[in-house]
Amino acid sequence: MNDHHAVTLLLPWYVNGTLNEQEMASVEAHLLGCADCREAVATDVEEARHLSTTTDEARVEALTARRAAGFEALRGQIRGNPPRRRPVAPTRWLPALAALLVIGAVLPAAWLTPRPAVYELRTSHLAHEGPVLQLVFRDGTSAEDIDLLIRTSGTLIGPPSSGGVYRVALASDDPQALLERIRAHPLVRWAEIEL
Amino acid sequence: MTEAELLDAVAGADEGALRELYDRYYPRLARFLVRMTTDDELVAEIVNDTFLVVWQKAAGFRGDASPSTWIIGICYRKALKALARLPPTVSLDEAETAATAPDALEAKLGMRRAIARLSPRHRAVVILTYQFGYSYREIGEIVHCPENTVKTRMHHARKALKKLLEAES
Ligand SMILES: [Zn+2]
Repeated sequence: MNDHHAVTLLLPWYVNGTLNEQEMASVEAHLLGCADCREAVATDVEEARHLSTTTDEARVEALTARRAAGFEALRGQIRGNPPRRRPVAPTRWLPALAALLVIGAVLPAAWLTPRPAVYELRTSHLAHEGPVLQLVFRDGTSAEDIDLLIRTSGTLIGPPSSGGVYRVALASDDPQALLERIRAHPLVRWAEIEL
Repeated sequence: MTEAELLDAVAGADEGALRELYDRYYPRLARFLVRMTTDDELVAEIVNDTFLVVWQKAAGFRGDASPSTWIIGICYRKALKALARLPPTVSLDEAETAATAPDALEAKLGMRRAIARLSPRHRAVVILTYQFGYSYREIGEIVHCPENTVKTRMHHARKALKKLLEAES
């Protein structure tokens, strides 16, 4: 099997932490022996960091602040356009109904549960070498923001300490530059590279 | 109310439920769309195009996708349609440079410009992956593509990005 190619295709989602356990394990196993893929991960991490730190939040906020007027315009549009009826199957309705009842017994809980958070903190099974960053976030920083910032800096090593210190194996050739960028981040209270 | 319940209410012509979804989704859709166009009017227009479809087709939402991938998928298709109407010369470069130059690093500008120059389809998978944190399965639901297509599209997007970044420096 062309392991390298298959792994290459998965790397962006390795970086964003959404692969399943099995895919995660196969990528990590491959990374141990493939410098090209390790380099590609570093590039991906860099791209993800750029995207997450340049979000044009001011534009988003200005647009969102004007949404009441937008909704009024939308109300004008929907007036003459009632929602379409639920599609019904006129023939063979009995088997369909039976199927619905069976599905209904199993699925609604899954349908109604909000999708699981994409962001969950992931720790690496890989042995790490190289610089380790310690950082503390400001109070009230969301788990989603913490995860994104960590993922775009490197790989989390273990859970945070009871004092809220996160340790991250850095995926960067220039840890000092990364440290400065992290320190400049509004959600970071304190950051230092471990000696 | 969950988003699935809100969609159900919208299917029954409940304007209040539509308003609730609109408020919940506005920032998320705007965050996606400001990456796709520098034109704020167009962003507002695409959000409304999206919600007009949500209103009309809420009954067709089946719950095999999540409400979020369903709604963002509609927004994605409306954005592609709107962008296809535009002349390709609308420059993201200058507006982005002006907006961020004071405090941005040169490398950051390079990356922004490069992403802005990707084709809309490529740009969307990059944004949905790195900024929104969606899995390739969810992106497949959003863009109505098989998972393998999502993977190869991302692969091509990264190659194009690499080329653009090399051309920058
Ligand atoms: Zn490899």
